[in-house]
Amino acid sequence: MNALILYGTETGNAEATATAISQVLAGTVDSEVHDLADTTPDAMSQAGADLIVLVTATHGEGDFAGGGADFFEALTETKPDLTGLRFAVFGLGDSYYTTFNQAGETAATILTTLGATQVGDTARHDASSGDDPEEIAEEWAREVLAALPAPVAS
Amino acid sequence: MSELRSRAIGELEPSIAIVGSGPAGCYTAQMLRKRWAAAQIVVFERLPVPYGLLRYGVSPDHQGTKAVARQFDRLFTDGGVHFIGNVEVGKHVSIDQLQDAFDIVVVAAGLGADRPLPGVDGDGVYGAGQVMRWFNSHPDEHSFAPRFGATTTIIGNGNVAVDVLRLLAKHRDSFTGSDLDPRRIDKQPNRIHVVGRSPASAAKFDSVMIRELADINDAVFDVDAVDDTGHEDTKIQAKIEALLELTTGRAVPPSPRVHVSFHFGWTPESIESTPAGRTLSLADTESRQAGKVIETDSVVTAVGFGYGLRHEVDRTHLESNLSDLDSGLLDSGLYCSGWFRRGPTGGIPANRLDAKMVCARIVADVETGTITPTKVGLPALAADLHPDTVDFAGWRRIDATEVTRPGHGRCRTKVSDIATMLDLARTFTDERTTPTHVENPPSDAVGHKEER
Repeated sequence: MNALILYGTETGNAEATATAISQVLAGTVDSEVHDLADTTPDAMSQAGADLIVLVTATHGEGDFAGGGADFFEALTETKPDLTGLRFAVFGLGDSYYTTFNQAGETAATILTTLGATQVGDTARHDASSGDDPEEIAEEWAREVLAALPAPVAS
Repeated sequence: MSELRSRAIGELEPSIAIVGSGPAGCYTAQMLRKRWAAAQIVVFERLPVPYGLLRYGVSPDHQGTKAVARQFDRLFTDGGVHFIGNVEVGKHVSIDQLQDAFDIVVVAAGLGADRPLPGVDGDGVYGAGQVMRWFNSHPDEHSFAPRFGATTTIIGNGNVAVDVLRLLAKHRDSFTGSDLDPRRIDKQPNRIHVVGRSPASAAKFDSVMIRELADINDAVFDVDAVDDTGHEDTKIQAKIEALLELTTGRAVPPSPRVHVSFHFGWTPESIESTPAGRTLSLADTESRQAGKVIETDSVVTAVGFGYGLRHEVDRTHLESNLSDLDSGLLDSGLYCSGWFRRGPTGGIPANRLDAKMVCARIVADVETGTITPTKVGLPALAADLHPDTVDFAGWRRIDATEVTRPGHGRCRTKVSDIATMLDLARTFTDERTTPTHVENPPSDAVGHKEER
């Protein structure tokens, strides 16, 4: 089983979180971590991953951080059929702002609309809570692992 | 010195000194650590405490933004990057000394001086950078005592101007969870003007900064002129809408505690003292004909930053005929990053990208053999350092004291003087924190937390 972990970041928090998630998955799932700025919807589909993990911070007025903006714009323009694709979303945000974690919610909505199936809940880390996003992500990643269908014996 | 990471562990990995522990310096350390897992990386900081702008520039009520520091904590705790605080480069140790000891020196010292505003200076005029340092309990501003009076005027339309505005306008009871020293808002003005040279559409602040002001529900906001709606640029349109919502779209409190007026398109020309206070004269930026006068007790100028603080390193003195500032090269083995490299524009994300770019240049210079790692780093410098340096464990002791004694609903109570910082850093240690006591990093450490 393999996973593609994609992050969109402004300050690096989402990147560090993505790395923490890959370390939890390691052993159970082979995973690669990539910056959304360096990937495209095509590359995502063609990677043939069993699971896509999106780690995205919210930036400005509810926008995607870093490479997330272009990636999801391309996704909504090209509207690929993502039926059969499993994904999980970890959002980073700051409840100080009214658009708290909007990017994570938008990501989940777009992917679901295109036919993909979400695994686990959309995580909503809150920078103002003082919580460590990496710690929360590790716990969340274990929940995602538990929610994955058992691999078919071959 | 055996506990120091040496080149015996990572053959051909360069020894690296970084000057400045703000975002630019720490991101540079982070990027370099990702490339070289075993290189000796030492971050020097003038103050006993790390993180520069995160601790002293980011507003005390923006703790979510300050939380970026957690990434940098990991560099020092698990990533094997050394912190050496209380060392002023240019005073305690020179750039030349650093270059003699380290293969690579990166200056990421920032730019902290408030840009002066011609015609507007003298008593009662304060720079926004200094004001923000004071709000953030910076030790350099220990004796700074601004008197804002009943009416203050903020000149500038960037995010720093809005930070100052928000801290002065927010109700004193609404700083729960921040690390603002309550004494800083003992006396808040009840009348605030915000003057910008450009029309509203060209103002540099982010719309989210304006939306945040709407939470001050016992304040009333008005604006003299907003240039039209219907801007094609969604960011400009969002800014205009945020301003209109704030100034016309919300209920006016029955007896406002503070009244804020935005004046767009006015250029400050002069300030004069009057028996009643001060008179700030503005000219219409476009026509230069029409004038406007604001009676005010104080002025905060928030018109940008530059070189000029007493302790600052002048970059021009470090430039050479090898310099390629666009990629961060100053001289052979000498680099720069962040505001120190590109000037005072862009925030924390921009400095991360800057660090990434400069790191790429450094890596290329080592990979192509332009720089051949030969220098031992810190051991070559240790004898030249004074005994009162603060290592990361020392900062953790200061930090622990700050967060375990918060009052007034604050998340921390900052130590604001260097003597106390040094005392706290030394507590529980028998020996002085000299660089020979830096901890040995795990040999497989990388720039992020290891699995627990």
